[in-house]
Amino acid sequence: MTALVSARGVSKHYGETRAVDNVSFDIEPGRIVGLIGPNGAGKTTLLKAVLGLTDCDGDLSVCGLDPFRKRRELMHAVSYVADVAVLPRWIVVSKLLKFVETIHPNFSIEAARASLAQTKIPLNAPVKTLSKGMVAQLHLSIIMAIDAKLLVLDEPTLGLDILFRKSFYTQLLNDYFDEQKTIIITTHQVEEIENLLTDVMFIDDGRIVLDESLETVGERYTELMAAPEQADRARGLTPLAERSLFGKSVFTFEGVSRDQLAGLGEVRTPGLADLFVAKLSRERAA
Amino acid sequence: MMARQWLLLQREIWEHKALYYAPLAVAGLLIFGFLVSFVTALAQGMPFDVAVATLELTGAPFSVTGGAAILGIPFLFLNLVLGVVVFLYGIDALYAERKDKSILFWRSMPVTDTETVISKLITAVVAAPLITTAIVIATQVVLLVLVSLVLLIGGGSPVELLLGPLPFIQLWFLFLWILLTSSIWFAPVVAWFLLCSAFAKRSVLIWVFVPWIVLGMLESIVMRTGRVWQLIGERFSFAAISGLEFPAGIVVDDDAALEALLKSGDFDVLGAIAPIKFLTDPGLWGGLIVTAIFLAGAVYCRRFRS
Repeated sequence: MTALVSARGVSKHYGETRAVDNVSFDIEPGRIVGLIGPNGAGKTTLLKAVLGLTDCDGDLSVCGLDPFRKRRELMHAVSYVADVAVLPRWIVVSKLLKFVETIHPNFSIEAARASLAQTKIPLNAPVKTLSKGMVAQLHLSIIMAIDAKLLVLDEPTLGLDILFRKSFYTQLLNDYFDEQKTIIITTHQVEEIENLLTDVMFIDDGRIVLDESLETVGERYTELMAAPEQADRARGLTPLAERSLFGKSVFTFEGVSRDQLAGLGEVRTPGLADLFVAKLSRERAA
Repeated sequence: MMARQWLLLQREIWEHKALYYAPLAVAGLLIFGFLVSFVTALAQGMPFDVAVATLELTGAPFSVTGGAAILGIPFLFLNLVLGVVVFLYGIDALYAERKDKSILFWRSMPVTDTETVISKLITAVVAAPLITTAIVIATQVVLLVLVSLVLLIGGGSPVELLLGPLPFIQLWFLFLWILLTSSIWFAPVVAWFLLCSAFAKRSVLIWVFVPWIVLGMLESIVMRTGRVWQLIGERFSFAAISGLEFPAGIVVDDDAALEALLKSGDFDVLGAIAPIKFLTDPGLWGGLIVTAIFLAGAVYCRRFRS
């Protein structure tokens, strides 16, 4: 199967700053990829390049198209939420639906209406009269009514309450996602999407520091919670990172088998947030 | 394809309601002003027939002149409003969407930046003038009906005094022709507004005016000539007469003279329409080339600077 997104040596400079620095990766169809990185790591720039919103150096192909040169064609197959609260404030909901229906061949107005019927959003209301949560709901209802090969969500739930975030991700997984579709998500609330993802990419300082499927993350990385008397032995196995929790030391290891660690304490797969911190502190120290 | 462009035009009009609100409001004021001036004349004890004859609006006894004023005044006023509306529209069209970030949504739709920018030019040079023209015609009809009623009440015959002598069809043809030619003539100005609104990080207005002022000043200092300001002056003062040709003996050297001529009513209306003069004017083609350059710049800015 050919990759849906394929990047080879992709870079983007803003003057002297390298926002994205010689990045290569592939994303296969049917995956849900979490793109995780600190502020200013280059996540948004990379996504903009994938969406054809900015030009870049290197070879980048999305759905077999050069995203920057073929943005219009690309937008038939790709939909995105760049920032939840960016719907035009002056437009009336029903006109917005009509606009998307006319302009987007893969948009189902029935699906959007059905999804809006479950909210309190009136069709005749101008967007500016809606609350922030409602605008987000409206935007996501529209985006999810587009039958796209690739959906890109850049901080889709920023500033929304936890009830909405939970129901959004449930809806995304149950009603939207199938093996024909691919989703790329960035968020700072890593814990909320952890169970959703099939793959994860860490990006820091414009470079990709980790690009794995969740299965291989489970095989390659382990977390050990060791009693103080075992800590020195654990340190001898060159952990990626160490932190303390309730008086115990917690180590993150890469490529150390669970058998080696078994006698030293409690062994488990690290959470993405902890792994992220461990991986980044190691990268930055190097 | 047509459905898409039509939708993009509708989108502009949904957003910029002033494109029809402003001319409607001014048309309402004109009609209201007519009624007020007429009632005032009567209230001041003027005999009815004199009041009819000295309506401020027409400024002259009823004749071709008065009738032409009834047609001409809404045309001139509303096209002035059109100029203001198009100016405000142009400087906002590619700026507001960046300011409120809704450009992120618009660009997530399968619409190219070129299509978007062209739809905005068409809105300004085709849709807005057509909307204004529809309102101009409606206002003219309302004023003609009102004046006819006044004449009837005063015992005169509207057909004899007003409707008969007035070359309606010819005048409307003339108005439409002026509208069409001046819209095309103004296209580079609109394209410049669009370029500024796509380019400016803030204050679009500064970008609209300052480059030309600076350029003109530099030219006058360095070369001791005034071509830049002259070109701009010509672009504005020749707009309405760019597609007209006048018989020998009548001097029409700017739009104000045209207004006076229209009011005087003593020239062959349709004879002034001069497509060949319009199409062979280097000012037209130079303007269109400049339009294309400015538009390309606006498309470039929208693609690369959002």
